Amino acid sequence: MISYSGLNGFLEPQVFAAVMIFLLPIIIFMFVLPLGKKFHGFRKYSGIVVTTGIFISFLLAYYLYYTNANLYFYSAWFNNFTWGVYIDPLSIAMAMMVSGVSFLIHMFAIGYIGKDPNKHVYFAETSLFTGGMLGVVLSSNMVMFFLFWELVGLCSYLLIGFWWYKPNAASAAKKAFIVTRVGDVLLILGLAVLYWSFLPVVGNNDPLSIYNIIHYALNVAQLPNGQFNLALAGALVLGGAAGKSAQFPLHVWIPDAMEGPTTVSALIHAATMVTAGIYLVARIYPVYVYALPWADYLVLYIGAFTAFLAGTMGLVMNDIKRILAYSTISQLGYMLAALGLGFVMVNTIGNTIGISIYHLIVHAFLKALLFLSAGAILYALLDTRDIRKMGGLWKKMPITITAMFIGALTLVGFPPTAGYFSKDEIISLAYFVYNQNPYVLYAWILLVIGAFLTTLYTFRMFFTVALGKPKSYAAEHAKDPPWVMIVPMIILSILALIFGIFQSGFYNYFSSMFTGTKYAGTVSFSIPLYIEIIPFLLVLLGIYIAWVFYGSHRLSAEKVANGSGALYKIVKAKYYLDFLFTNIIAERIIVFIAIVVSLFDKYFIDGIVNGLGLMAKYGSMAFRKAQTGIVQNYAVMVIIGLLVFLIIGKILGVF
Amino acid sequence: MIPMIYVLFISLLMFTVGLYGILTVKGGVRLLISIEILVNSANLNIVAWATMHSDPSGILFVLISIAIAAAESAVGFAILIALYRQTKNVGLKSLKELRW
Repeated sequence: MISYSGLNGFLEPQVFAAVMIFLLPIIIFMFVLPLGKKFHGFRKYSGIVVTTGIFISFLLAYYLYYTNANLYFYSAWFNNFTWGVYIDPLSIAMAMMVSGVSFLIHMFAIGYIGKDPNKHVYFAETSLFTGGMLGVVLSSNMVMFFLFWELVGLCSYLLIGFWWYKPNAASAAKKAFIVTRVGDVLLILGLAVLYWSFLPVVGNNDPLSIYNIIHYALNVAQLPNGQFNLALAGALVLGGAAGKSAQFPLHVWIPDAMEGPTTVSALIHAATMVTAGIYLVARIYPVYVYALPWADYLVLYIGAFTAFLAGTMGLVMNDIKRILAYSTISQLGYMLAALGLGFVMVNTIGNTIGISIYHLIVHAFLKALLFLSAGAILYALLDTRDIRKMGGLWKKMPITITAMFIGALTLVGFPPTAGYFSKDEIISLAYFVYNQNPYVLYAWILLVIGAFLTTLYTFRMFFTVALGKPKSYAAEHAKDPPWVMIVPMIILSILALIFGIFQSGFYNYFSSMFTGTKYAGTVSFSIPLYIEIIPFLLVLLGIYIAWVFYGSHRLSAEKVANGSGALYKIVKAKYYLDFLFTNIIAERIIVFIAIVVSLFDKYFIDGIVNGLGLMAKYGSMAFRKAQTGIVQNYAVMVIIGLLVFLIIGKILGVF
Repeated sequence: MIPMIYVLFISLLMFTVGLYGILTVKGGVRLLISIEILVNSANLNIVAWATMHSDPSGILFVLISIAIAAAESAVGFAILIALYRQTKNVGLKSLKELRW
């Protein structure tokens, strides 16, 4: 890794390219918004401008990959913080994924959002959104990282509420903002703990730089209480990651975020937002490696439990976008669990970050594909989102539904697709780690059941949408969208199908990230074949069960639902988590605290402030009577004052 | 030669009279007269000391002081005339506009 600093470093071509990757979309945002506001004729070109800008970002990211950039650039910012870029295989892979998938989604959006009169606002905001996410993955310092992280949160709020005149969208935007804010509070506390625990080791030499966090975590762990500090920081940062990456219990905002335009959902789910949390945990992996084990198990089990829990909720939803939202939560759980496996068994860390990020990238392709095809369906069906009103769409819109079929196969991990190479690797790794560490057994079980549930809800959705008879007027008259929307779907389909062949190359590329560090080298793990094919058998079983219930309708899903009684009700109510958060925590506890605090503020803090003001007011009313305006009164005062001074002086013996 | 202390007593008397006048009179012209008495008491004091020390510079200073006193009463009368134009009155009670 080469270090650069200062202006000379900035003019280094690789550094300049890396900075421009995230700066370019932000600059474009600054131009598109005012231009679109001033010139109405410009609005219809805003999509093309933004899409081009993001494509240039992608080319710059590809340039970094092509020249094998591995560098750390920093420049003075605050007294104790620097700004800069940290480029290694992890950030290059993320930057290419973010800009590439974002480019395809923007291209789709040119068609999808094309009729909206405020499309320049939409494209300006998505450009800022993408720029913010690229800044997140390239930042070299946790403070800079946090700024971009907040920028992403802000843009998600703006974009989810893009159709602000719909009450649902406005409240969903607020919910997304507030729930991720809970995570952000935890994250900033975690950064404070990190700063505090790295200060004795690094000194005033930028304790929150990612370079220092990676290279000095071992020294921190050797301090007294160091491991505990790292574990505390790791757990708090995990809280921030859970807020952004929608992990239990902060996942509640994502299903509501479906109120935004579908392309926004695609951006949030595939490229620009939810992957930030996974990236954060992967970025500061040494903190977890050297922390006390409970932080590692926390990462593992939050991921595994979320993968399972979101799968069960996905089963009972009827809104096509919400099903996809729960599947995103579930897949993010897999990525987090994969990272947790590496933290639990440290000698596999060389594998696990690669495995987790590989799944992240495959998931980005397939989830963008699924959301774009869902967007195309919504475009054709005039925003009908209930899958029970669709049906028979395979004949009506063959290209879209074929793309969705490929996406569904990739999501469940059917063998030739990329999903098979990414997800089954995580499950196999879980079993391998379980052989060394019995506490991981439950994680493996949760992940396997999660894979089964994934298949079940994905094909429930797919069969209901694609097969049978059209169940509404709009579904009967659906047809494929224009080419500008089809091309991105085709590209993503091809990627989802063939990306599996890059698996070993990708892992090798990632293991080069650890060259020269203590984590270098990978573990080649093999597990028994009968264990390895369990997920595949469960996928086949899941597709069969989904076919019986929703394809051929040989068995009735309603009967099963009614037969299961309370269980169905609980799952349908999303485990009452929304009820718990909104009606109990927010309305009872938080509102009560807020009332107490506001009374304190109103009567104590304001009392002090207003009291000072009133004191001055009434005091001056009393004292201004002394100002008579008659000169002789003042002269009397002067003479009395002079006498007083003379007398005092006489008493003190000055004269 | 008149003893020094008599002159100083006259000066003190004039100063007290002038001060009393400043604090009590109601009319503007009388105020100016009181100020003149005050100034002249100081002048007399200085002349007395200068004569005692046989030092002419004190007397020169008193000449300057008299010139300044003349200028000052001219300014004072100008203010009074301006006041009279406003209020048809030179009583000090009519100078109350500067208060709250």
